[in-house]
Amino acid sequence: MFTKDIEIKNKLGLHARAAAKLVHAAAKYRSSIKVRKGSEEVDAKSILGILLLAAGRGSVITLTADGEDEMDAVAAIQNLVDAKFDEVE
Amino acid sequence: MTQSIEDFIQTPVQTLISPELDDLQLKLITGSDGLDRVIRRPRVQKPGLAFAGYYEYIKQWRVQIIGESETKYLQSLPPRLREKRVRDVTGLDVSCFIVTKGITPLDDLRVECEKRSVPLFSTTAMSSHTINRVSNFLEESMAPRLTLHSGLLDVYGIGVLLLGDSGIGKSECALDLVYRGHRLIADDMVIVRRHPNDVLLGYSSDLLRHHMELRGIGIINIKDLFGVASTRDMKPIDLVVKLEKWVDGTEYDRLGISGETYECLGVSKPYVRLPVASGRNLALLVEIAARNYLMKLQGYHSAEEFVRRQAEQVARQTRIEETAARRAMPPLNAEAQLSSELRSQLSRHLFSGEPGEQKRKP
Repeated sequence: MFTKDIEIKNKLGLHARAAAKLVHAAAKYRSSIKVRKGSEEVDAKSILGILLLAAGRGSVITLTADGEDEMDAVAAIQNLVDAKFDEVE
Repeated sequence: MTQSIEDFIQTPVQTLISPELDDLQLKLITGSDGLDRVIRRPRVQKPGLAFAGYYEYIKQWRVQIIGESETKYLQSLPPRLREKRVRDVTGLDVSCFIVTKGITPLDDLRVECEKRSVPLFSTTAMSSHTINRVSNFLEESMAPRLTLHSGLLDVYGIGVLLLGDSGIGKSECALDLVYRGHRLIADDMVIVRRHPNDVLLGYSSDLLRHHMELRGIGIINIKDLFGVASTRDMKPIDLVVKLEKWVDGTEYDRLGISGETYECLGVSKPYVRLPVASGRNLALLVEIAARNYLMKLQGYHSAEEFVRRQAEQVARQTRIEETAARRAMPPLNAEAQLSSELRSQLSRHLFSGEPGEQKRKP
Protein backbone atom coordinates (compact mmCIF):
# COMPACT_ATOMS: atom_id res chain seq x y z
CA MET A 1 0.00 0.00 0.00
CA PHE A 2 1.35 3.39 -1.03
CA THR A 3 -0.31 6.74 -0.42
CA LYS A 4 0.44 10.22 -1.63
CA ASP A 5 -1.23 13.64 -1.63
CA ILE A 6 -1.20 15.50 -4.92
CA GLU A 7 -2.32 19.04 -5.62
CA ILE A 8 -4.24 19.75 -8.79
CA LYS A 9 -2.43 22.53 -10.62
CA ASN A 10 -4.06 22.94 -14.01
CA LYS A 11 -6.51 25.73 -14.61
CA LEU A 12 -9.59 23.68 -15.33
CA GLY A 13 -9.01 21.08 -12.65
CA LEU A 14 -10.14 17.49 -13.10
CA HIS A 15 -12.45 18.25 -15.98
CA ALA A 16 -13.57 15.62 -18.46
CA ARG A 17 -10.53 15.39 -20.73
CA ALA A 18 -8.11 15.53 -17.81
CA ALA A 19 -10.11 12.85 -16.03
CA ALA A 20 -9.96 10.66 -19.13
CA LYS A 21 -6.18 11.02 -19.21
CA LEU A 22 -5.92 10.12 -15.54
CA VAL A 23 -8.06 7.03 -16.07
CA HIS A 24 -6.02 5.96 -19.08
CA ALA A 25 -2.84 6.36 -17.04
CA ALA A 26 -4.26 4.41 -14.09
CA ALA A 27 -5.61 1.63 -16.31
CA LYS A 28 -2.08 0.76 -17.39
CA TYR A 29 -1.24 -0.57 -13.91
CA ARG A 30 -2.34 -3.73 -12.21
CA SER A 31 -2.56 -2.20 -8.74
CA SER A 32 -5.88 -1.14 -7.40
CA ILE A 33 -5.78 2.65 -7.23
CA LYS A 34 -8.12 4.83 -5.24
CA VAL A 35 -8.47 8.58 -5.36
CA ARG A 36 -9.82 10.45 -2.38
CA LYS A 37 -10.92 14.02 -2.15
CA GLY A 38 -12.53 15.09 1.08
CA SER A 39 -14.97 12.39 2.06
CA GLU A 40 -15.28 11.00 -1.45
CA GLU A 41 -13.21 8.02 -2.47
CA VAL A 42 -13.38 6.62 -5.99
CA ASP A 43 -11.62 4.11 -8.23
CA ALA A 44 -8.95 5.75 -10.38
CA LYS A 45 -9.89 3.45 -13.25
CA SER A 46 -13.49 4.63 -13.30
CA ILE A 47 -14.08 7.68 -15.44
CA LEU A 48 -17.39 8.49 -13.81
CA GLY A 49 -15.84 8.24 -10.37
CA ILE A 50 -13.04 10.65 -11.24
CA LEU A 51 -15.51 13.07 -12.79
CA LEU A 52 -17.60 12.94 -9.65
CA LEU A 53 -14.73 14.30 -7.59
CA ALA A 54 -14.95 17.58 -9.53
CA ALA A 55 -11.54 18.53 -8.16
CA GLY A 56 -10.63 22.08 -9.13
CA ARG A 57 -7.31 23.87 -9.21
CA GLY A 58 -5.72 24.01 -5.81
CA SER A 59 -7.56 21.06 -4.38
CA VAL A 60 -5.61 18.14 -3.03
CA ILE A 61 -6.38 14.54 -3.94
CA THR A 62 -5.03 11.54 -2.11
CA LEU A 63 -3.86 8.61 -4.19
CA THR A 64 -3.76 5.19 -2.64
CA ALA A 65 -2.36 2.33 -4.68
CA ASP A 66 -2.18 -1.26 -3.63
CA GLY A 67 -0.41 -3.92 -5.66
CA GLU A 68 2.87 -4.96 -7.20
CA ASP A 69 3.32 -1.75 -9.21
CA GLU A 70 1.82 0.67 -6.69
CA MET A 71 4.82 3.01 -6.61
CA ASP A 72 4.98 3.28 -10.41
CA ALA A 73 1.27 3.83 -10.66
CA VAL A 74 1.26 6.70 -8.19
CA ALA A 75 4.37 8.21 -9.80
CA ALA A 76 2.76 8.06 -13.23
CA ILE A 77 -0.39 9.79 -12.07
CA GLN A 78 1.63 12.36 -10.13
CA ASN A 79 3.64 13.14 -13.28
CA LEU A 80 0.47 13.61 -15.25
CA VAL A 81 -1.06 15.92 -12.65
CA ASP A 82 2.18 17.88 -12.22
CA ALA A 83 2.44 18.27 -16.00
CA LYS A 84 -1.04 19.82 -15.85
CA PHE A 85 -2.32 16.95 -18.01
CA ASP A 86 -0.25 18.34 -20.91
CA GLU A 87 -2.84 21.01 -21.41
CA VAL A 88 -2.26 24.35 -23.07
CA GLU A 89 -3.50 27.02 -20.72
CA MET B 1 -15.40 16.90 -47.91
CA THR B 2 -15.94 18.02 -51.47
CA GLN B 3 -16.27 15.55 -54.23
CA SER B 4 -13.44 15.50 -56.69
CA ILE B 5 -14.70 14.78 -60.16
CA GLU B 6 -11.54 13.06 -61.22
CA ASP B 7 -12.32 9.69 -59.72
CA PHE B 8 -15.54 8.95 -61.58
CA ILE B 9 -15.36 5.53 -63.15
CA GLN B 10 -15.42 5.99 -66.89
CA THR B 11 -17.94 3.99 -68.81
CA PRO B 12 -18.57 3.15 -72.48
CA VAL B 13 -21.45 4.74 -74.39
CA GLN B 14 -22.93 1.23 -74.47
CA THR B 15 -23.99 1.82 -70.83
CA LEU B 16 -26.72 4.16 -72.02
CA ILE B 17 -28.52 1.25 -73.65
CA SER B 18 -29.92 0.15 -70.34
CA PRO B 19 -33.37 -0.88 -69.15
CA GLU B 20 -33.08 1.91 -66.56
CA LEU B 21 -33.34 4.45 -69.37
CA ASP B 22 -36.22 2.68 -71.09
CA ASP B 23 -38.48 5.68 -70.61
CA LEU B 24 -36.27 7.73 -72.95
CA GLN B 25 -36.65 5.14 -75.72
CA LEU B 26 -33.21 5.90 -77.06
CA LYS B 27 -32.88 4.85 -80.66
CA LEU B 28 -29.44 4.34 -82.13
CA ILE B 29 -29.48 6.04 -85.53
CA THR B 30 -25.89 5.37 -86.47
CA GLY B 31 -22.40 4.88 -85.13
CA SER B 32 -22.84 1.46 -83.51
CA ASP B 33 -19.11 0.85 -84.08
CA GLY B 34 -18.45 3.64 -81.62
CA LEU B 35 -20.43 2.26 -78.69
CA ASP B 36 -17.15 1.58 -76.92
CA ARG B 37 -16.27 5.32 -76.89
CA VAL B 38 -15.90 6.40 -73.31
CA ILE B 39 -17.92 8.76 -71.16
CA ARG B 40 -15.66 10.33 -68.54
CA ARG B 41 -18.03 12.70 -66.75
CA PRO B 42 -21.64 12.12 -65.84
CA ARG B 43 -22.62 15.69 -66.65
CA VAL B 44 -23.88 16.20 -70.17
CA GLN B 45 -23.36 19.16 -72.52
CA LYS B 46 -25.40 21.01 -75.10
CA PRO B 47 -23.02 21.79 -77.95
CA GLY B 48 -24.74 24.99 -79.11
CA LEU B 49 -21.70 27.21 -78.55
CA ALA B 50 -19.48 24.73 -80.32
CA PHE B 51 -21.72 24.76 -83.38
CA ALA B 52 -21.34 28.54 -83.28
CA GLY B 53 -17.60 28.08 -83.66
CA TYR B 54 -16.38 28.13 -80.05
CA TYR B 55 -14.89 24.65 -79.99
CA GLU B 56 -13.07 25.06 -76.66
CA TYR B 57 -16.48 24.84 -75.06
CA ILE B 58 -16.64 21.10 -75.73
CA LYS B 59 -15.28 19.24 -72.71
CA GLN B 60 -13.73 15.91 -73.48
CA TRP B 61 -15.72 12.72 -73.40
CA ARG B 62 -19.17 13.80 -72.46
CA VAL B 63 -22.60 13.04 -73.79
CA GLN B 64 -23.77 15.86 -76.09
CA ILE B 65 -27.48 16.67 -76.15
CA ILE B 66 -28.79 18.31 -79.30
CA GLY B 67 -32.20 19.90 -78.94
CA GLU B 68 -34.44 22.07 -81.02
CA SER B 69 -32.38 25.25 -80.62
CA GLU B 70 -29.12 23.64 -81.78
CA THR B 71 -30.90 22.07 -84.74
CA LYS B 72 -32.63 25.33 -85.71
CA TYR B 73 -29.36 27.21 -85.41
CA LEU B 74 -27.53 24.73 -87.63
CA GLN B 75 -30.31 24.94 -90.18
CA SER B 76 -29.91 28.70 -90.28
CA LEU B 77 -26.26 28.42 -91.30
CA PRO B 78 -25.16 28.43 -94.96
CA PRO B 79 -24.75 24.79 -96.04
CA ARG B 80 -20.93 24.83 -96.33
CA LEU B 81 -20.45 26.45 -92.94
CA ARG B 82 -22.97 24.08 -91.37
CA GLU B 83 -21.15 21.12 -92.83
CA LYS B 84 -17.79 22.43 -91.50
CA ARG B 85 -19.09 23.08 -87.98
CA VAL B 86 -20.75 19.68 -87.75
CA ARG B 87 -17.63 18.01 -89.10
CA ASP B 88 -15.39 19.88 -86.67
CA VAL B 89 -17.55 19.20 -83.61
CA THR B 90 -18.02 15.55 -84.48
CA GLY B 91 -14.26 15.28 -84.79
CA LEU B 92 -13.71 16.49 -81.24
CA ASP B 93 -13.54 14.10 -78.27
CA VAL B 94 -17.28 13.70 -77.84
CA SER B 95 -18.74 10.51 -76.42
CA CYS B 96 -21.97 10.51 -78.40
CA PHE B 97 -24.88 12.70 -79.47
CA ILE B 98 -28.49 12.45 -78.38
CA VAL B 99 -31.02 14.36 -80.48
CA THR B 100 -34.12 15.11 -78.42
CA LYS B 101 -37.79 15.93 -78.94
CA GLY B 102 -38.13 13.37 -81.70
CA ILE B 103 -36.30 15.62 -84.15
CA THR B 104 -34.86 13.85 -87.17
CA PRO B 105 -31.09 14.42 -87.01
CA LEU B 106 -29.69 16.65 -89.70
CA ASP B 107 -28.18 14.80 -92.65
CA ASP B 108 -24.79 16.46 -92.09
CA LEU B 109 -24.69 15.18 -88.52
CA ARG B 110 -25.80 11.68 -89.46
CA VAL B 111 -23.21 11.43 -92.23
CA GLU B 112 -20.36 12.69 -90.03
CA CYS B 113 -21.32 10.41 -87.14
CA GLU B 114 -21.44 7.45 -89.44
CA LYS B 115 -18.06 8.32 -90.96
CA ARG B 116 -16.37 8.75 -87.60
CA SER B 117 -18.26 6.04 -85.73
CA VAL B 118 -19.73 8.44 -83.21
CA PRO B 119 -22.96 6.98 -81.77
CA LEU B 120 -25.95 9.13 -82.62
CA PHE B 121 -29.16 8.52 -80.66
CA SER B 122 -32.55 10.05 -80.93
CA THR B 123 -35.27 10.27 -78.31
CA THR B 124 -38.80 11.61 -78.21
CA ALA B 125 -38.22 13.09 -74.74
CA MET B 126 -37.67 16.81 -74.18
CA SER B 127 -34.09 18.08 -73.74
CA SER B 128 -34.59 18.99 -70.08
CA HIS B 129 -35.96 15.56 -69.23
CA THR B 130 -33.25 13.80 -71.21
CA ILE B 131 -30.53 15.82 -69.50
CA ASN B 132 -31.97 14.97 -66.11
CA ARG B 133 -32.37 11.28 -66.71
CA VAL B 134 -29.05 10.78 -68.47
CA SER B 135 -26.98 12.72 -65.95
CA ASN B 136 -28.65 11.04 -62.97
CA PHE B 137 -28.20 7.65 -64.54
CA LEU B 138 -24.56 8.34 -65.34
CA GLU B 139 -23.90 9.77 -61.89
CA GLU B 140 -25.04 6.49 -60.40
CA SER B 141 -23.30 4.16 -62.77
CA MET B 142 -20.06 6.16 -62.77
CA ALA B 143 -19.90 6.88 -59.03
CA PRO B 144 -16.66 5.76 -57.38
CA ARG B 145 -17.14 2.60 -55.37
CA LEU B 146 -15.33 -0.05 -53.40
CA THR B 147 -16.11 -3.26 -51.58
CA LEU B 148 -15.62 -3.44 -47.84
CA HIS B 149 -15.34 -6.61 -45.82
CA SER B 150 -18.04 -5.62 -43.39
CA GLY B 151 -21.74 -5.74 -42.61
CA LEU B 152 -24.37 -3.09 -43.15
CA LEU B 153 -27.53 -2.75 -41.11
CA ASP B 154 -30.34 -0.31 -40.71
CA VAL B 155 -30.62 0.26 -36.96
CA TYR B 156 -33.49 2.60 -36.07
CA GLY B 157 -33.10 4.13 -39.52
CA ILE B 158 -29.38 4.73 -39.03
CA GLY B 159 -27.12 3.03 -41.57
CA VAL B 160 -24.51 1.26 -39.44
CA LEU B 161 -21.46 -0.20 -41.16
CA LEU B 162 -19.92 -2.97 -39.06
CA LEU B 163 -16.18 -3.36 -39.54
CA GLY B 164 -13.86 -5.83 -37.89
CA ASP B 165 -11.33 -8.54 -38.55
CA SER B 166 -12.43 -11.92 -39.75
CA GLY B 167 -13.79 -14.08 -36.95
CA ILE B 168 -14.43 -11.25 -34.51
CA GLY B 169 -18.17 -11.82 -34.67
CA LYS B 170 -19.52 -9.37 -37.22
CA SER B 171 -22.04 -11.82 -38.62
CA GLU B 172 -23.19 -12.93 -35.18
CA CYS B 173 -23.61 -9.31 -34.17
CA ALA B 174 -25.53 -8.58 -37.38
CA LEU B 175 -27.75 -11.60 -36.77
CA ASP B 176 -28.43 -10.46 -33.23
CA LEU B 177 -29.43 -7.04 -34.56
CA VAL B 178 -31.78 -8.61 -37.12
CA TYR B 179 -33.24 -10.69 -34.29
CA ARG B 180 -33.90 -7.46 -32.42
CA GLY B 181 -35.92 -6.21 -35.37
CA HIS B 182 -33.30 -4.24 -37.29
CA ARG B 183 -32.75 -4.71 -40.99
CA LEU B 184 -29.88 -6.30 -42.85
CA ILE B 185 -28.59 -4.76 -46.06
CA ALA B 186 -25.45 -6.84 -46.54
CA ASP B 187 -23.20 -9.13 -44.60
CA ASP B 188 -19.53 -9.85 -45.25
CA MET B 189 -19.28 -7.85 -48.50
CA VAL B 190 -20.69 -4.37 -48.71
CA ILE B 191 -20.40 -2.40 -51.91
CA VAL B 192 -20.07 1.28 -51.09
CA ARG B 193 -20.82 3.87 -53.74
CA ARG B 194 -20.18 7.56 -53.31
CA HIS B 195 -22.92 9.93 -54.29
CA PRO B 196 -22.99 13.72 -54.31
CA ASN B 197 -23.28 15.52 -50.95
CA ASP B 198 -21.03 13.05 -49.14
CA VAL B 199 -23.50 10.23 -49.35
CA LEU B 200 -22.01 6.74 -49.12
CA LEU B 201 -24.60 4.31 -50.36
CA GLY B 202 -24.10 0.71 -49.26
CA TYR B 203 -25.62 -2.37 -50.85
CA SER B 204 -24.99 -6.01 -51.45
CA SER B 205 -23.89 -7.84 -54.54
CA ASP B 206 -26.82 -9.49 -56.32
CA LEU B 207 -25.71 -12.99 -55.48
CA LEU B 208 -25.13 -12.47 -51.77
CA ARG B 209 -28.15 -10.24 -51.15
CA HIS B 210 -29.97 -11.13 -47.90
CA HIS B 211 -27.62 -14.01 -47.22
CA MET B 212 -25.29 -14.57 -44.33
CA GLU B 213 -22.75 -17.19 -43.42
CA LEU B 214 -22.64 -18.43 -39.87
CA ARG B 215 -19.79 -20.66 -38.87
CA GLY B 216 -21.15 -24.04 -37.90
CA ILE B 217 -24.53 -23.50 -39.54
CA GLY B 218 -23.62 -22.40 -43.03
CA ILE B 219 -25.32 -20.03 -45.43
CA ILE B 220 -28.72 -18.77 -44.38
CA ASN B 221 -31.24 -16.52 -46.09
CA ILE B 222 -32.27 -13.80 -43.69
CA LYS B 223 -35.32 -12.77 -45.70
CA ASP B 224 -36.65 -16.32 -45.69
CA LEU B 225 -35.96 -16.83 -42.01
CA PHE B 226 -37.05 -13.46 -40.65
CA GLY B 227 -39.47 -12.10 -43.23
CA VAL B 228 -39.68 -9.28 -45.67
CA ALA B 229 -39.19 -6.49 -43.12
CA SER B 230 -35.86 -7.90 -41.92
CA THR B 231 -33.89 -6.77 -44.96
CA ARG B 232 -33.56 -3.86 -47.29
CA ASP B 233 -31.63 -3.45 -50.50
CA MET B 234 -29.59 -0.31 -49.94
CA LYS B 235 -28.91 2.25 -47.26
CA PRO B 236 -26.61 5.26 -46.93
CA ILE B 237 -23.95 4.79 -44.27
CA ASP B 238 -24.33 7.14 -41.29
CA LEU B 239 -22.15 5.54 -38.65
CA VAL B 240 -19.13 3.23 -38.79
CA VAL B 241 -18.64 0.80 -35.91
CA LYS B 242 -15.48 -1.25 -35.67
CA LEU B 243 -15.38 -4.36 -33.55
CA GLU B 244 -11.89 -4.78 -32.14
CA LYS B 245 -10.19 -7.44 -30.13
CA TRP B 246 -9.87 -6.25 -26.56
CA VAL B 247 -6.21 -5.55 -25.87
CA ASP B 248 -5.16 -4.53 -22.37
CA GLY B 249 -3.60 -1.12 -22.38
CA THR B 250 -5.25 0.06 -25.60
CA GLU B 251 -6.94 3.37 -25.11
CA TYR B 252 -10.60 3.57 -25.96
CA ASP B 253 -12.86 6.56 -25.94
CA ARG B 254 -14.18 6.76 -22.41
CA LEU B 255 -16.04 10.03 -22.69
CA GLY B 256 -17.50 9.91 -26.17
CA ILE B 257 -16.28 13.35 -27.18
CA SER B 258 -13.28 12.39 -29.28
CA GLY B 259 -15.22 12.72 -32.54
CA GLU B 260 -13.27 10.06 -34.44
CA THR B 261 -14.11 9.65 -38.10
CA TYR B 262 -13.66 6.91 -40.65
CA GLU B 263 -12.74 7.86 -44.16
CA CYS B 264 -14.06 6.02 -47.16
CA LEU B 265 -13.88 7.21 -50.79
CA GLY B 266 -12.84 10.61 -49.51
CA VAL B 267 -15.88 11.00 -47.25
CA SER B 268 -15.64 10.99 -43.44
CA LYS B 269 -18.27 9.36 -41.28
CA PRO B 270 -18.58 9.20 -37.48
CA TYR B 271 -16.57 6.28 -36.15
CA VAL B 272 -16.92 4.22 -33.01
CA ARG B 273 -14.45 1.54 -31.95
CA LEU B 274 -15.95 -1.15 -29.77
CA PRO B 275 -13.58 -3.49 -27.93
CA VAL B 276 -14.91 -7.04 -27.94
CA ALA B 277 -14.63 -9.09 -24.76
CA SER B 278 -16.59 -11.97 -23.34
CA GLY B 279 -19.66 -10.75 -21.56
CA ARG B 280 -20.13 -7.76 -23.83
CA ASN B 281 -23.36 -7.85 -25.76
CA LEU B 282 -22.22 -6.42 -29.06
CA ALA B 283 -25.62 -6.04 -30.67
CA LEU B 284 -26.83 -4.08 -27.67
CA LEU B 285 -23.74 -1.86 -27.82
CA VAL B 286 -24.24 -1.21 -31.54
CA GLU B 287 -27.88 -0.44 -30.87
CA ILE B 288 -26.88 2.05 -28.17
CA ALA B 289 -24.30 3.64 -30.48
CA ALA B 290 -27.07 4.11 -33.06
CA ARG B 291 -29.44 5.59 -30.45
CA ASN B 292 -26.72 7.95 -29.30
CA TYR B 293 -26.07 9.00 -32.89
CA LEU B 294 -29.79 9.60 -33.35
CA MET B 295 -29.74 11.92 -30.36
CA LYS B 296 -26.76 13.80 -31.77
CA LEU B 297 -28.66 14.23 -35.03
CA GLN B 298 -31.39 15.89 -33.05
CA GLY B 299 -28.89 18.22 -31.47
CA TYR B 300 -28.39 16.52 -28.14
CA HIS B 301 -24.90 15.27 -27.45
CA SER B 302 -25.09 13.27 -24.22
CA ALA B 303 -21.36 13.16 -23.60
CA GLU B 304 -20.75 16.85 -24.34
CA GLU B 305 -23.71 17.83 -22.22
CA PHE B 306 -22.34 15.80 -19.33
CA VAL B 307 -18.86 17.22 -19.78
CA ARG B 308 -20.28 20.74 -19.71
CA ARG B 309 -22.18 20.10 -16.49
CA GLN B 310 -19.15 18.47 -14.88
CA ALA B 311 -16.98 21.49 -15.76
CA GLU B 312 -19.54 23.74 -14.10
CA GLN B 313 -19.42 21.51 -11.04
CA VAL B 314 -15.62 21.76 -10.89
CA ALA B 315 -15.81 25.55 -11.13
CA ARG B 316 -18.53 25.77 -8.49
CA GLN B 317 -16.70 23.47 -6.10
CA THR B 318 -13.48 25.44 -6.59
CA ARG B 319 -15.26 28.69 -5.75
CA ILE B 320 -16.78 27.21 -2.60
CA GLU B 321 -13.46 25.84 -1.47
CA GLU B 322 -11.67 29.10 -2.17
CA THR B 323 -14.24 31.10 -0.24
CA ALA B 324 -13.99 28.71 2.66
CA ALA B 325 -10.24 28.92 2.52
CA ARG B 326 -10.28 32.70 2.53
CA ARG B 327 -12.52 32.74 5.59
CA ALA B 328 -10.86 29.96 7.50
CA MET B 329 -7.30 29.97 6.42
CA PRO B 330 -5.86 33.45 6.94
CA PRO B 331 -5.10 33.13 10.63
CA LEU B 332 -3.79 29.65 10.07
CA ASN B 333 -1.77 30.69 7.11
CA ALA B 334 -0.44 33.76 8.81
CA GLU B 335 0.43 31.71 11.78
CA ALA B 336 2.24 29.19 9.67
CA GLN B 337 4.07 31.92 7.80
CA LEU B 338 4.92 33.67 11.01
CA SER B 339 6.16 30.55 12.60
CA SER B 340 8.33 29.63 9.64
CA GLU B 341 9.67 33.15 9.48
CA LEU B 342 10.34 33.04 13.14
CA ARG B 343 12.03 29.73 12.84
CA SER B 344 14.35 30.92 10.09
CA GLN B 345 15.16 34.12 11.92
CA LEU B 346 15.80 32.19 14.99
CA SER B 347 18.10 29.78 13.22
CA ARG B 348 19.94 32.63 11.55
CA HIS B 349 20.27 34.28 14.89
CA LEU B 350 21.51 31.16 16.55
CA PHE B 351 23.87 29.87 13.88
CA SER B 352 25.34 32.96 12.29
CA GLY B 353 26.93 35.86 13.93
CA GLU B 354 26.68 38.27 11.04
CA PRO B 355 26.24 41.87 12.05
CA GLY B 356 23.63 42.50 9.36
CA GLU B 357 21.37 40.00 10.92
CA GLN B 358 21.79 41.56 14.28
CA LYS B 359 20.76 44.98 13.02
CA ARG B 360 17.39 43.80 11.77
CA LYS B 361 16.35 42.61 15.18
CA PRO B 362 14.23 44.94 17.13
